[in-house]
Amino acid sequence: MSQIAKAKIVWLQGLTCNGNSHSFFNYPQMESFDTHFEVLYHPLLLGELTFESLLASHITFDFLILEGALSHDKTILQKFNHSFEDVLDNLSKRAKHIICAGSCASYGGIFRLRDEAKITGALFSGKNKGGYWKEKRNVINIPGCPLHPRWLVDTLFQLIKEEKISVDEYLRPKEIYSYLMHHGCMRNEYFEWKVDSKQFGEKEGCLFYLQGCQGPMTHSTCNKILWNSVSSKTRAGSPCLGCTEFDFPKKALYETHTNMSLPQTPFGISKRAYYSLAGIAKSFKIERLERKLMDEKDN
Amino acid sequence: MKKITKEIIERIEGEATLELEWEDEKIRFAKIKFMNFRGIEQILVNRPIHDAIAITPRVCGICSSSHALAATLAIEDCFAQEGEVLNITQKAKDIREIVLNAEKIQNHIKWFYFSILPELKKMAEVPFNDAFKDKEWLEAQRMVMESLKISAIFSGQWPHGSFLMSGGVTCDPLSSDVINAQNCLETIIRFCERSLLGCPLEEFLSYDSAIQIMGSRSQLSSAIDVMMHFGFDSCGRSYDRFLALGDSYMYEGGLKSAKTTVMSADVKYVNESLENTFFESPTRGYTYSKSALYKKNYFEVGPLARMMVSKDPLIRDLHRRYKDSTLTRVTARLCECAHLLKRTAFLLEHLNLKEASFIPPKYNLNYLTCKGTGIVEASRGSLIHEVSIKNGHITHYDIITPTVWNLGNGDHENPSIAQKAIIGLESIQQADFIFKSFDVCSVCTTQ
Amino acid sequence: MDKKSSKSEKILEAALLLFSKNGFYATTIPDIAKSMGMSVGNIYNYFSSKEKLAKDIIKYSSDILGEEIRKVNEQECSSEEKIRKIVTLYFDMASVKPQHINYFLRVYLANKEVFKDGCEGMLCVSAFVTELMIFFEEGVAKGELRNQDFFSAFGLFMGYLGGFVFLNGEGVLNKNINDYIEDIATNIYNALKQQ
Repeated sequence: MSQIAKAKIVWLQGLTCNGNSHSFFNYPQMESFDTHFEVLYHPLLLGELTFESLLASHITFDFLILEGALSHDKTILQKFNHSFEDVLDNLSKRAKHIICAGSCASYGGIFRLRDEAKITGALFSGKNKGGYWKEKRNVINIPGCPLHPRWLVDTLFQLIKEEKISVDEYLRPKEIYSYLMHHGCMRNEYFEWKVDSKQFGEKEGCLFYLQGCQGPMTHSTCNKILWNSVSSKTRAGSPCLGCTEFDFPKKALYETHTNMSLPQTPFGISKRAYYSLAGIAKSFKIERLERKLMDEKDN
Repeated sequence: MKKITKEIIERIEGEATLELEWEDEKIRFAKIKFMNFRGIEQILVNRPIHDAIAITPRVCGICSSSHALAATLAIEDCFAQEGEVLNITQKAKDIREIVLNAEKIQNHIKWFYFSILPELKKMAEVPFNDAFKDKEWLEAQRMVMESLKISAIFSGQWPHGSFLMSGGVTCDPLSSDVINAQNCLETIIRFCERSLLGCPLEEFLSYDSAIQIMGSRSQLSSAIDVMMHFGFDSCGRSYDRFLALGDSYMYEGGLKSAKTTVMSADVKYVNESLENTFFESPTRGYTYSKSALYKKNYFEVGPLARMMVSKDPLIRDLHRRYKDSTLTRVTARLCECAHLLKRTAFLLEHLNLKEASFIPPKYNLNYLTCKGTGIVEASRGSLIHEVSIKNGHITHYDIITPTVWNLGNGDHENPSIAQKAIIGLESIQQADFIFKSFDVCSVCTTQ
Repeated sequence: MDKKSSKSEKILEAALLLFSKNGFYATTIPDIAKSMGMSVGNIYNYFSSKEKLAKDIIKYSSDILGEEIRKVNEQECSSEEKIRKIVTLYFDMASVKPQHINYFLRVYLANKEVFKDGCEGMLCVSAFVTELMIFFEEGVAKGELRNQDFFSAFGLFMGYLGGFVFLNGEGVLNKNINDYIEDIATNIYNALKQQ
């Protein structure tokens, strides 16, 4: 087999739960990954470089993967007795691409809620531009809490093939984030005909009206490529929590927020279009959809 | 001669630094520092209580389901405190346990192959350069995925799955889903028999003597050889006091043990100490990790504790020979993995899909003002969530994680479990490995 | 507008007048044809039955009222102001084209059996209801209206207006209906506003 020049990766963590690292460890084709990439440093893995030797070296690399929320404040974030600023300044200069893995590195995420002024993502603070850095040209955001391992690895592959990655206003690759969590949801027919899920723990019904599902407003391919190759939140009967968006986590995640009983409309759909269509669909009682998916009595 | 050195602990969940006090070439005391506090307990305040089920998993990427379950149990306890004992069906209970077990199996395999084995190889000077090229690492990674697939079949995804709700579980699996999970489990069992344990699972679970493990050819027995070679059969000992507060099929109720004497234990005797933390004093404190004590004493939690209180014959035998040394601690975690495989196979086999997944509570949470506690035996030990709510909204949330039990900060007279385990050692390499033997999770600690 | 649809709109208008005045059962297709100077057969070219005509009228009416409320929704003004504008246009319609409101009250609400197939739920009044939904949703989103169940707000709003137009039709009011706009708008706003 011919030797391919491998792209080098350094993984650095800010304020994190390690969830994106553990999600990455679920990437199914690690041998293929290894053929094309070399992980010089990952905080959870034994490699050739230690944290100190990485800092002391002058090695350049293709990807700096950031996991976790960032802060300039030493009392909030430091790395093994170094200020985080020193570490990130040192490493970011040596990286060709900076990849923000997960919602924390992208927008500040859940941990930003502790101190919204001091804890941010790399280039965004929530929805506002300007995070840890004011500007930087080589950053791509791959939000999610956590991100899907394929979102990360597929993007890395596209970058080493020097494909141009087109991104949206939040610097998210459009190939992933043009889709909605809603696409591919097994409960779609219930959404179309406005059949609400009456309670948790059932295969039937849409979770959008009562249980707080944010699938129609959340950009992701969760229901297209599935998690751990087998499922997704909505398939497990739980609402989408909107974790790829800048405002994750909203308050009251298991309740649908409504104004006069009217929910937020799906992404890019006007209220007029949505309410009239929903009103029409609701006017009919579709008996098949009111029944259990698998009715024991039919046998 | 006295001196102070600063060391860093890498390749644990999160990161820790140690400030070691040396006297006559021996470690006299260790300050364990966990920085990078995240404040999840504060973030939860004023939110509707169910948000805790979604947000507390984000405490930790490797034990997220345990946190979600502890939060759910705490909410269910709130209902109970107010007079409505929720009816959780056996199906829902079993699914909760399957997901929790899958997470623990994943954790134990990952810990052994990603953390312990590379360290032992390094010690034994067996080449180990890159995880992604190591055959054993790659195979373990596949088993980790199989294990998490079992979780995801019920929890939608892992990490940070969603499947819990006060009143049961949200998923409603099909028989074919269960078969899929069973096949994933079978794959892991075959791997463990072939590589980790070196014998059929049933045979391993019938062992009652350390000699039986050492006699087989397996990755476990090789690891034990290396550990013995480097003296880990005698070092790393702590107080020999164990605690398991959460429920398990292996024993009844919360238990504690001093050496081999087992007694019942109750969460009401748990207290958290802020000693040496920045919470107590921003200037004199040196860590964000609180310490948890039971009746003012440090107790070890985790697989070794669970094996000891459940009087597992094999671990009891190791304990008779090597006390609560690193060797016993490491073996106990893998032994627990074997038990979990068998237990999970049993649960999947007997899962009654005809039952309801969820029975909605009758009380409206928005009228509840009370306190609830949820306890889960997570991968690393007893995990406690305590919540106070007013009209269904969180006024106070307190999380005590297993690492807070094992890696707290005591003082010279009364060191914590891990501190005691490294005091008296002569090398930082030994101390580093002993730390890892506790399966440290600093992210859990600095929630 | 093409010739056919303009013709059918004329039939709708003529039928609306007769239905709202004489009721659904007392009005026949020949009556409608006669009022327009058309042949009965020709009417059936446009509407296959009297029931179909009745259903199309309620949609037609709802579209007209919806279109007016839509204009209000698209204006940049407070919810209080919008309530006043909606009350005004509703009462205007009641005075200038009372047949629309009368049709709703006397035909649509009184003869549900005619509308049961094809006008289930709010199917035939959806244009108008949708606009009120948008009005309510935006009022709550702006923090001006109190969040509550849609129907409790809708019922208060439309029940009040419908009832008032009914009283006006019965001739029991002391003043011109437009003189009540200010008080009624204030009452509705006070009932719906954020406390």
